[in-house]
Amino acid sequence: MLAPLTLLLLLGLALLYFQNLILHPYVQVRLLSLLTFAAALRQPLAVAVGVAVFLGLLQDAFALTPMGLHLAGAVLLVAAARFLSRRLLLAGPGAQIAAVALVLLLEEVGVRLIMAFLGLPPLPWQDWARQLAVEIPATALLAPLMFAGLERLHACLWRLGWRPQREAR
Amino acid sequence: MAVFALLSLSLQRSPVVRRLEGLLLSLTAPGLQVLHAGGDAVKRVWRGYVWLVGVQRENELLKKRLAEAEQMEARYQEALKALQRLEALLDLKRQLALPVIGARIIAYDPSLWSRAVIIDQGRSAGVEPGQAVVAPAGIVGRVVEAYPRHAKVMLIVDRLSGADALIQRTRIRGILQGRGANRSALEYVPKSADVQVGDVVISSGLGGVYPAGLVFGKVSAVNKRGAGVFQEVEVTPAVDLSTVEEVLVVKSAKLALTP
Repeated sequence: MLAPLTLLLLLGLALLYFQNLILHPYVQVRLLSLLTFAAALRQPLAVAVGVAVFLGLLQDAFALTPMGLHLAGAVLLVAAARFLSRRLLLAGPGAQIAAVALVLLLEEVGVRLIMAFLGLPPLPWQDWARQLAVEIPATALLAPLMFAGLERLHACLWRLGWRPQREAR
Repeated sequence: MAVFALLSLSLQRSPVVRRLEGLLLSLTAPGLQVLHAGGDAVKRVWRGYVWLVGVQRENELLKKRLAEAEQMEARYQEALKALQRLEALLDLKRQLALPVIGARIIAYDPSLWSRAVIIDQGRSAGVEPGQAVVAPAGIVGRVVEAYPRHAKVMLIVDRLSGADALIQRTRIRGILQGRGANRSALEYVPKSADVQVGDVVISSGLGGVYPAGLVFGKVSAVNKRGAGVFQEVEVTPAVDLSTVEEVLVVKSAKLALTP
């Protein structure tokens, strides 16, 4: 369990750096949300939760939002991934993109509800429109790439002798 | 006799002749195409590796040198820009005549849910929560969290950011409130007040965070048609908060707060 968790956390960290150093401010995509969701589809629950916790908190650390807001979003993604199950990985790119767009929308709505519940000022409609029109679709378009990358990582780990506990028994 | 017959048919543009012509072309053209391509390849090999081997090498060398020169030019331009930015910061430091700490922005907020940056100076350098962060063009934000070697800065466009401000031209006061993304608004300005697009919005100095007279931004839109007694004044920050790299942390606010 430790090997995939470590690798996914390092990948998440690398994506955060990439987003900050290369993409910002011109490209706004949710690479970490995508990674969290993709990891939760394929990996055991313990690994998925570990990734969600680490990446959620990592984003919270860089943001001004209350600590745990990104984490809540990440947990929502894990729950959605578990609900959709790993069969999504076998679906075509179109279905994957649509599913990820839906899940990111769910995350956004969930986080906004939490923010409203916390009494934080609502985000302006311009931000909402931007997220709906650009950020979420752009991230969803990257879903097949992320899924394929993680499948390859899983295959590499398999070749190196790693087996999830459930499958090893 | 047969030749003449064929010529005759050809002149008459007989379909039989055209079909025959087409058949021949179809059968032979592909081979010719392959040979032509092969010939070109042979010619390229000959010219590249045998006949013009020296020229090609020289060309490669020149291309490499050009690439190196371009890289050097890019590095030079980058260094020049950094120098210009740092010179502007130095000028600002002189203008402020306040104790300041130079810092570099190393990370940006990962989501649109808030607007913050992380700087590379922290408590060890004297950075404390509540201190103002400025750039040559104007105010960036204020420190909200200070760690040993880093600090978190709330940008003036964050929805939780609020500061006392005034219109430079008319001295009309209001509260500059962050609106997320790259927007802010001057609130609590009466509809009767004279505010025009292009007016400069500066800090009033009240509140003890931002030194008086520093620029927040410019009025980019005014709307007096809304309900209520206040007009809507949209302010575009003077600093491009998405691309700013070097900043100064002003220590005076803290000094003012702790006599």
